[in-house]
Amino acid sequence: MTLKSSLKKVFVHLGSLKLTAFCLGYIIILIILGTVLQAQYGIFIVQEKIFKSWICQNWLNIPFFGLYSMMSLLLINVTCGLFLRRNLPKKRILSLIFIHGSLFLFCLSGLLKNLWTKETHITLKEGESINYSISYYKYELAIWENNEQSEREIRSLKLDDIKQNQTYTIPNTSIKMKIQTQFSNSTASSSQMASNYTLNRVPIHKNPEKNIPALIVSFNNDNNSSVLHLYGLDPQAQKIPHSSLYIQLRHQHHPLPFTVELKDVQRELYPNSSQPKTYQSQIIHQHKQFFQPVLIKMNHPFHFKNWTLYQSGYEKKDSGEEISTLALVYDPSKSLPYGASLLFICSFLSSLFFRLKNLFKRKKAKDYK
Amino acid sequence: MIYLLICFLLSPQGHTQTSSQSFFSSQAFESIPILDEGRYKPMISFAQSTLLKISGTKRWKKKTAIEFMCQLLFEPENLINEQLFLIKDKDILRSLGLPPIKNQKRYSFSFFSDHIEHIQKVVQTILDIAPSQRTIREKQILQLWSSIQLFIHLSFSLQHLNPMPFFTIKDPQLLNQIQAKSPIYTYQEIRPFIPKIKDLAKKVHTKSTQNWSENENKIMTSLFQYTQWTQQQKNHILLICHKKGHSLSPWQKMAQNTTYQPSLELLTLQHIQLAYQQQNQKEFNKACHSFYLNAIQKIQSIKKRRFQVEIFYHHFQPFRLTQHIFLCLIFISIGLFISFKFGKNILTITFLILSSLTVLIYTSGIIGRIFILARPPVSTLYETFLFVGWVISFFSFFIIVKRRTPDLFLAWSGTGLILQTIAHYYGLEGDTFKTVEAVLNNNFWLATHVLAVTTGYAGCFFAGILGHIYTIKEYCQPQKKQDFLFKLTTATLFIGWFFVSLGTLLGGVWADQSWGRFWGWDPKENGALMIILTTAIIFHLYWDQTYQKRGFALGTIVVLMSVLIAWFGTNLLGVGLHSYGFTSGTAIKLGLTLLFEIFFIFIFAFIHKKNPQKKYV
Repeated sequence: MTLKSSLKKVFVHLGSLKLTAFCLGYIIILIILGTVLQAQYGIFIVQEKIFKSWICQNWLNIPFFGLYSMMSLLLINVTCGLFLRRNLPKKRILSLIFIHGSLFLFCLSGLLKNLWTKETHITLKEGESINYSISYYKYELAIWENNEQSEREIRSLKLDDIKQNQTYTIPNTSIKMKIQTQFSNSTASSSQMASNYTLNRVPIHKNPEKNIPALIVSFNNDNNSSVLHLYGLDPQAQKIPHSSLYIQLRHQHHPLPFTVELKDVQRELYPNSSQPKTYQSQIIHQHKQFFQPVLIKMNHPFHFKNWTLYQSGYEKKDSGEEISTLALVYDPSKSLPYGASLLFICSFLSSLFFRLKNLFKRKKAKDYK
Repeated sequence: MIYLLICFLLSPQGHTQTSSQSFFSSQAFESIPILDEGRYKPMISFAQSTLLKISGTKRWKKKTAIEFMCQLLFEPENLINEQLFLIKDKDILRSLGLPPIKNQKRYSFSFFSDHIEHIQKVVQTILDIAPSQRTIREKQILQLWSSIQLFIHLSFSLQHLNPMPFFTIKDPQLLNQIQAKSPIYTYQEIRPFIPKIKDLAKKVHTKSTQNWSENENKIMTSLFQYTQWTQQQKNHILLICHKKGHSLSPWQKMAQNTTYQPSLELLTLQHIQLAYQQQNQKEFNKACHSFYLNAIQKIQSIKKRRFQVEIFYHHFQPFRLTQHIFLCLIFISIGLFISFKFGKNILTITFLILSSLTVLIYTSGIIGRIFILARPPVSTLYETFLFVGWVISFFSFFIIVKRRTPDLFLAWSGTGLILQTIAHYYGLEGDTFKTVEAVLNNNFWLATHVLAVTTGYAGCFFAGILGHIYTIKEYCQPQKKQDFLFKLTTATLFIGWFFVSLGTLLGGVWADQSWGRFWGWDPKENGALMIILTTAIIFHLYWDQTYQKRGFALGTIVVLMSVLIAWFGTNLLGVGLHSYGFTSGTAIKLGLTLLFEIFFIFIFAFIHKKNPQKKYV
């Protein structure tokens, strides 16, 4: 058997419909597994471990291929399959290329979304304005020096980038900060005698927003050294010569290229019921010198370049103060799944039309192939 | 609550005339508008959902829902000892420390009334548990408690119109003192004289209790009871007194009226009650009509015709009717398999006439629901069953008319009956005309995404049913080619596949518009994706000639299973954003159905292997 014929055989196998069926079957099993495990582990963990992974090792103690691996194999299979069937009639091959091409686009958009998309939110009281958004479940370590000025310079380190036992020098000072211990989720207890919390590591919560990260940080100055236990969102002070340094664990802040001011937020209920009919926020969107009044409500988001603002939450405090939460999504690949959907539906529709036409023309079964 | 209960039990039993109601019709009461669960509805809708919640049935002891409601509102004392509260699981009673009665499913209010305090304590402990961690039994106890509360509140809703011994003032001298011209019997009647009674009470207060005369005693008792009733009454269920923009219960209406004089609505209600108790049909109808006209004028958002259609819908019960016709059609289809030629023609014609009638009624029912709700009829699990049933019945009707074969007749009527029965089961949960959640409140997306997905479900579901018939027929008549049936199965599955794909992608666009993400791995989304992928496997393997027609037909059954998992199974997980369909208690039924299907596939795959000499295809 020559190398060429062996390669051809491999190519035929790679493009076979049996492999397609195997890949699709495997994906179905992954979907069932991921759906069932959602109830126990939550959507976030399941997405990370199964749907956004190459190899999954967390369950059953047996490593198995994640969705990325299977989708890659499926795409290879589709490519080889299309090449093998290049001699089919022109209409058929075009229809196949469009349908399967749209699958490529879906996979590409999934990949790009994973790389580029940022999902954050802003929470505003009526009359308040903001030019940054806050991450739902990602944290950062923010450090600033106490000064009397109205503006302060805040430096931040993403918690994901922080490594245990690593030492950082705080700019403009000779202070060195060492990360002693890092907790992804923790509980804290404090006693009157101790100045710091006692931190305990706890398993990661299935709802990532409920995780409370913590850090044990040591500071070394020329002469002194001290240890800080950072837990929750409260800032802590660290004395330095002539001033004090504030350190805070907080949700990641993302600067926005525009400002949002909340003018009014409303919740409309069905008459004499506590069931909401709709929520809506009247905002002023300011970009450079341009002010634009915008109404955001359920199913009616506001788009600005690659940003989209959605009505996400509403809260009314006992004092009567109304708070609106707007979800903010930055997605440069936003139009890709729309295009893929359109391509898929059009090509599927044409395929449906021709197949049904053929089916009732009493043609032989192999013509449907 | 306890106070209301005591008052309720103290109310004069049998005080009012309770003659046989066989000649009396409460129908006029059904059109009275009431605000309930966020929408204005005719009293008949409210009555039906109330009776369903309490008794789990639409008719109780041969009484219609509206007859039951009239009795509950106007003569509640006659319902105290009636077996009304449905308890399917006797362990609920044991959990409440109550003795279950053998061969009895329904229990009277008096059965629970002695143990209300204990039940309240049990309920409180359940309420302390997080909703997601409550067991099915605990949820059922809460349901029973809400039924008991509903019963008490409704029975007390018009008690201000009922004569009470402590409000009764007949003594002419006392009547003269408070400047009343006629005897007083009820809370509503005593109300205008309260300022005078309060003045008298001030004078009585100066005396010691022993020196009170009989009339003074009466004054003080009436005032005390009046104060108690006014303070304790927080009954806001029967919202039938309408104003521009909002609606009030009769008690709220009275409380708002600072002049103490009853309003026109309250007086009309009194007339309705009196006419009902006296069984005066003419007066009852007249008073109800007057109340209806007055209410309709005040609620501008009510569209009169929509209201009338809803009342007609409840009387007509289109889906109950089609359910019965489907059953008849199944018998006719079976008859067609065994009848001779002459009988066949008659049965075929009968089938076609009845099926045309079914499609007509079914379609009118669906259109009626769209008209009443002013939105596409697919926002609850109940509605999806109805809609899927309609899609199958409507579109495949033309095929059965053309082909006229008993197997297609059986598939058509069987599918219709199965889906209608499931819908009927879900319809027993209460009012089926529900308001939609804020995020679903978008007619465009309901009309595109949800309709497309449910149409896809219908295609895949019906293909599965046809797959069953093809497999059985092919086994029973191996010599006959089932070409048309096979083509029909293939085409139906392909159409279903297309619509599920279309609906899922439209759902992605909707999700992107509402939540900022195209795909979120929500269980319902995963369910739809599972159907798409399963169908893709079935078609790809068939195109690859891995199996032939029989294998394909068995494959359609696998698709049917995936539809069932996506439709019911994903709801059982209790997670995700598609919260309209959370159900409990369907797991066993779903499991058994899936087991049956697996058994069916294995049996026919096995037969195929054991008898290779039979040329199946």
